[in-house]
Amino acid sequence: MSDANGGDELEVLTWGTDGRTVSFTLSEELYPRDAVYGAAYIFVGKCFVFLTRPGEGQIEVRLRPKEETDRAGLEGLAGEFANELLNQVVRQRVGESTAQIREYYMAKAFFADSSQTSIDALLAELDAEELQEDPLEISVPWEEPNG
Amino acid sequence: MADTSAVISFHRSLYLPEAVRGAADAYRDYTDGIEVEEGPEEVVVTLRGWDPGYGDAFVDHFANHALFQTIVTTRERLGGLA
Repeated sequence: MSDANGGDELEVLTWGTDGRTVSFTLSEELYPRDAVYGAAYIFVGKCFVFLTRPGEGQIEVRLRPKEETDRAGLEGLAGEFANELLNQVVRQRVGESTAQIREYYMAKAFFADSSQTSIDALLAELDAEELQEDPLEISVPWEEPNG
Repeated sequence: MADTSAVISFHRSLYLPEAVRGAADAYRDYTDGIEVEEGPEEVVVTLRGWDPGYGDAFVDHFANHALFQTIVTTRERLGGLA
């Protein structure tokens, strides 16, 4: 991220400020609306968030701190929001890419053969297990030899 | 009451109309009146006569409320936790 006035070829987001608010325009193709919502949800507690549609497939985010702040504060706020936005995008993509395996596990859990679940198998194994010797007499209640 | 007013446009693709109406209901008692006009693309809200002591933060709080309610409702509809 960087100021709209001082460009950098590698920047992803370009922000602008009027001294009280900081704003930037996002491509919805890169930053889906749900990711913007996710970041906004976290930020509504500490700043005012307003969303507009400057064009097709674009979302403009305007942030205004609830407390008075300087330019550095606004820049910091924009950076924090951008980081959270990236976090939300990654979460969403990971969620989408692992959706199938989650569904598989859920289906497996719901439709597993109930007559022999892993817990049943474990209990059966314990029942069948012969009692081991107990040289420390752990299985003997404390009251018997002492009371 | 006070000579304060503001007009805010909420794009329907970003703000749920019911969330905006909910914000209007929540803030109505603090104003002389709130009008909500629902257009095909935008929901336009006119706020009038809030206490000048709140400053323009009143409008920002209103917009925050509408956004928060939009996000919560959208997530609930998707079946997730709000």
